[in-house]
Amino acid sequence: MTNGHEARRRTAAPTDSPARNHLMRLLTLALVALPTSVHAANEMHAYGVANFGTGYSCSGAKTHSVHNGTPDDFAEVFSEMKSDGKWDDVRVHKNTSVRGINFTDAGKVSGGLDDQDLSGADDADVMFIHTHGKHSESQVASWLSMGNAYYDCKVRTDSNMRWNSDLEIAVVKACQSGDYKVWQDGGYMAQFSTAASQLTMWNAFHGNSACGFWTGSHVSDYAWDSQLDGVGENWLDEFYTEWIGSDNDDCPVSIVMGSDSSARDHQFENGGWRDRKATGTKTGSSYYYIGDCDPEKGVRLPD
Amino acid sequence: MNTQIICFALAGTLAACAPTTDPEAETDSVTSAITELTIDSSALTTIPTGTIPANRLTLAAFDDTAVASKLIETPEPFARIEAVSTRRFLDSTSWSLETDPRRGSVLVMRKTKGGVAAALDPVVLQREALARLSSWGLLSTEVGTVLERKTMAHDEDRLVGALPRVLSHKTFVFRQVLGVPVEEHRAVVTHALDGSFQRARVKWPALAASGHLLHTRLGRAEIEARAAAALGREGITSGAIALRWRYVASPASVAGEVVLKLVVAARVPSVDGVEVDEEARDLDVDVSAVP
Repeated sequence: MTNGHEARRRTAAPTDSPARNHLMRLLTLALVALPTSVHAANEMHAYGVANFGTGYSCSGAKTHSVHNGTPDDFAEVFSEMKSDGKWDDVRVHKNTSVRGINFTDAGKVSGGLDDQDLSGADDADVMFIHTHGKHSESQVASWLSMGNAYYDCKVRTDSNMRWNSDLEIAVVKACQSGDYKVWQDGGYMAQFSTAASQLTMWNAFHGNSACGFWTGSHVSDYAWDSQLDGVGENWLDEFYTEWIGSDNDDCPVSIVMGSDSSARDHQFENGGWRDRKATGTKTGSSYYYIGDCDPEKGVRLPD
Repeated sequence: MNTQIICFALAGTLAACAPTTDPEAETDSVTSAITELTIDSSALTTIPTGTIPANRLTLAAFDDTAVASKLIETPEPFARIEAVSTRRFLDSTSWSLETDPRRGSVLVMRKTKGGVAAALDPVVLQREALARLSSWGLLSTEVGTVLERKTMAHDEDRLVGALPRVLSHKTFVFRQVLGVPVEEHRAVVTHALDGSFQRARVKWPALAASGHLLHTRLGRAEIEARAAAALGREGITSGAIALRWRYVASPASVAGEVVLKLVVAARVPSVDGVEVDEEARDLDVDVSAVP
């Protein structure tokens, strides 16, 4: 599919008179102002929130500069695929450009813009975010930190994030974003609030997940390996880590929604960015994990 | 445990070094100077010595034919399906294969599931996984921690949950050179429930013959000071920090060989917050690595 911006840039070719030039410029601006990639066949949005507590950013944590590198690492393979004509659109948003309103469904809050063209998380087919997170068993939800205090500073899995437009695969590098107890109590069900929801996969972490100077390489490897196969299983292979000490494992999990366990297993094992499996109506889910994984801020997972 | 406590706040120290007549600034320095940074460098007692293993995985192992015959151990012919950048996608009757020598990556998947679940000995599964990797060229000389784990799936349909089920058996193999973990590099071999080989996912780029920076001449005290400085640059002036040796890889050739460089990872513990929690994180500390 042709990139909308590139196609429209070609309409703004130099002309031979100032008046005509001015008219053409106005026409071009009007065209550019229109949505450029509405429902493009394959869109990926990557988000990273590294800055907290300064300017318009949200408070409550220290700056983790790594969070700003990983969206680029994730996007690299999508840009390569796009160059080869195998992907259509790639967008990266960082810090104050990561706005709660773009992770909020209009059904939750009037004016929610999760399907906003080029910015909304539900406008993409594949979404990656690296930020801080937290969960509450009593509130039966996880939430993610956003980058702009002008909008919501946190978005919740049980309310804001209702994926009912384009999003099929969400990849979330954030602490406690896929808690086992919350899943058992239905805390991620609102995300596929209608049986017709497009969302099939929520790759996240049970408990805290460490980061460091090495995180970007892991994100990049995972993204490169998951073009056609193993989009769920690769996530577990790449990020499962048993650190020195106790109760501090990194426990990646993959939550797959669909009509039956067979369809869900198929997406977990054989799905990919360019081969997103249909999992049927979203009447159930499977929670995939590495047995006995024991993280900080989460129960030891059953084996 | 050999733990050293360094009582200083870098921000305060730097402020004290700067000429200032602002009494509030001096007060800030005093306040921040009472915070504690506890650095545990006991894991650095043994300084890495030696050279990279003479017997190690080579670039030749990433040849499609070598992967098919030695890692998958199949005689089936493979046809190239497509490529993205340097990554190649291949297919045979029973297997799909992706290889990328430049990134040191291999992904092998059997197209069909295994048979009926059998009683399996994790020791045997691990031995078979390591033997398969060794046959391909990934030798014990580069292997560190090995973990045998199960992939589990817990299903819930129409609000009715079942008991978790075992989906597969995984052997996690982590790279190590001279007793030091190599960041990012790992091989994961997966067996189906009947014990048959199901898949392998490998990130294990070949090490170049030369150009590595495997050692350091710095002593522990110097490394601790550098760690404190690195932490200070991130605004971390208190907390219990653990230091560990690490090797990080960087490209040495277009073909895909990498060189290793010794660094120290300073593990900053997680922080509980009201709205969000901050994860534990590793900051890399430059130790002026030398060949």
